[in-house]
Amino acid sequence: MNPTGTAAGRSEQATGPQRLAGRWLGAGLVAVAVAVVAGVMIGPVRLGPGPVIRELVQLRSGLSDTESTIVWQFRLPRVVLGLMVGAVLATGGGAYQATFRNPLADPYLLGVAGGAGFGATLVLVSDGAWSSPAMVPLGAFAGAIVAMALTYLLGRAANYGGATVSLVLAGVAVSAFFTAMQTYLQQRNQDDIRRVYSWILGRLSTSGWHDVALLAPYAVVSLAVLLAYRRRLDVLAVGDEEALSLGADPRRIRLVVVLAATLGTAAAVAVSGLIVFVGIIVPHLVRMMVGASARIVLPLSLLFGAAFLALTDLVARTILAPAELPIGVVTAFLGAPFFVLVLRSSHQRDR
Amino acid sequence: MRTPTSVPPDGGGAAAVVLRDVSVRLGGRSVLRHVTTTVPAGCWMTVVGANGAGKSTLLRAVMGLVAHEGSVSVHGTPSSALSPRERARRLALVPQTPVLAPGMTVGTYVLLGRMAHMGPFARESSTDLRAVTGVLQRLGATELAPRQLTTLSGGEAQRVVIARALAQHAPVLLLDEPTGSLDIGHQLEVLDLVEELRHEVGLTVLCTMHDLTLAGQYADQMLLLADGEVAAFGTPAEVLTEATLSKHYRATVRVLHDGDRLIVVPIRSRVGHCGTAHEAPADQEDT
Repeated sequence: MNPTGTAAGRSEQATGPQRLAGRWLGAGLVAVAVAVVAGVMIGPVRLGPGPVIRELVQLRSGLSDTESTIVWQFRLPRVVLGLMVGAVLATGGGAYQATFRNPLADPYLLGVAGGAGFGATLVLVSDGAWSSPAMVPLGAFAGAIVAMALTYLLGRAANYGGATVSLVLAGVAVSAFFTAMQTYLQQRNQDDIRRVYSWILGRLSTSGWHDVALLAPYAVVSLAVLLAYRRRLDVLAVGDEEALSLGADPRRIRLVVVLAATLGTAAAVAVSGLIVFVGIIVPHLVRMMVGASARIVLPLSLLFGAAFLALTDLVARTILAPAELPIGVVTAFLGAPFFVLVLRSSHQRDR
Repeated sequence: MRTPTSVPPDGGGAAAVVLRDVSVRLGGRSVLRHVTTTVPAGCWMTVVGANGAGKSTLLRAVMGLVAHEGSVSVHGTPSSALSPRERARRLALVPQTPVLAPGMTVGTYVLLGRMAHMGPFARESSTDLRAVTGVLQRLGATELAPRQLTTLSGGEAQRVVIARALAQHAPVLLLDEPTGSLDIGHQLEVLDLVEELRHEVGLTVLCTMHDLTLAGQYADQMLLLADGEVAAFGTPAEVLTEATLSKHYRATVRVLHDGDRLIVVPIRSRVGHCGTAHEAPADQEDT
């Protein structure tokens, strides 16, 4: 064989693993760019696409100082927060699905969000040093880890109607439990109820760059680990025993990936509240387009998830303007019917 | 095809796999009992026996997939001292019922065989890609690379699973019922392929099989398991005798001689009612 020859190179391209096609990567980047420009343009004060693009790339845009402030202090932070939350939830969802070999594994259905919500509320209503905003993601993470572990153990123990269904049922039970505890906490602390309540419905806040800065370190760590492990995730698709015989350590891969996905999800929940179904819709659409290999699904879920949530937020804040619809309501509206579709197709495959 | 990366240091004639007093209990039941045997490097040993005799368990014990008493050593190193990664560089397993992941392409699947050679993030090197290309070319499966696993026929799937095992470049190949789901043409094709590869790259083959006639034609040595114990061991001519097989398979068996070849025929003992003789009972699928 001639390792330097172009013919050999081409045949390796053809026989090697499935690759991330440039056109899909390009489509994802375009989607993100469209979401950014649209998200910054549209609002009570309408701005033109040309000036917005010029303003964003720091050219002379012709925007007034007020308009410039609107772009940089109000709209852009919110769009960036939407991109980050969407990227984390969608990539995390894709990672959970590959880890559990389960197309319905989603941060919300696994109880991760419920646990994160409880942990975050605990921080919000507590007094003293614990109640600082920076502690909220940590509280959410602790709650999320506990809930995730409970769901996994319950789902394994139950084994009712196949692994897919029992995992989801266990997640529903765990979610309900943590939501109940969270509601109890919130009702007991009437002073904080407004703060907690607006947070539950899911919203991308308008607190400027503060929330972006709070989420960014968690999002970066979570996404970096998940992307680094995306090729290893493929080996889990052949089951633990074969993975082990191929020299992989499936339990360690699962542990690292679940921790990373849970960290990102918990931080996203802590900042933006409960935004459901993003982790199912986006990875599922990506799999329909490019196949199930995690090495391709995760990076595309990141891009399309980011664009999806930023655009969904645009809908949420404009459709009832000047009132605002919680973004969690919009994703649920889109996601619930979608969930039924996924359930149908995965149910047929389980049999 | 390239030669395996870790050939036995002392060359042919040495022991590739040694089992000493290996016992396995699964769910409180004793599945393997005090099995001791040696697979010489370059040898093809086939393990036969009735359903539930412990054939697959023996392979899984060698691969380190099931807890066992006694010792297994691979090229002189105790298996328990090897990490899964080191084991996968020495032993490649073709499972009886491989998981064909939905939505995965053949190229991605065969690359999984390179897992034990890759770094922490499993980023494939050009060596890994060359290994995949070489194996697929050798098996005449290059055109399958972009196909989804779930669209393959039984024969194609079996070739792809073997390709993944060969991509591991391990000197010992463990095959669990490699012909179980194949028609006779594909059975011969797969076994001939393994035989050719054995000579090309000096593989040691440890294989389980139900079809005794086929097993006898390809094996250098045979090991008959009965209730988890070694019931017979030796060349095919020594193991495939009417007395031995009848006893351990609980069936009437005739062994016919066709030149050097042994042909094992199960004989129906009772004749059905209405005077119509039905076919002789066929070998059952393993569980």
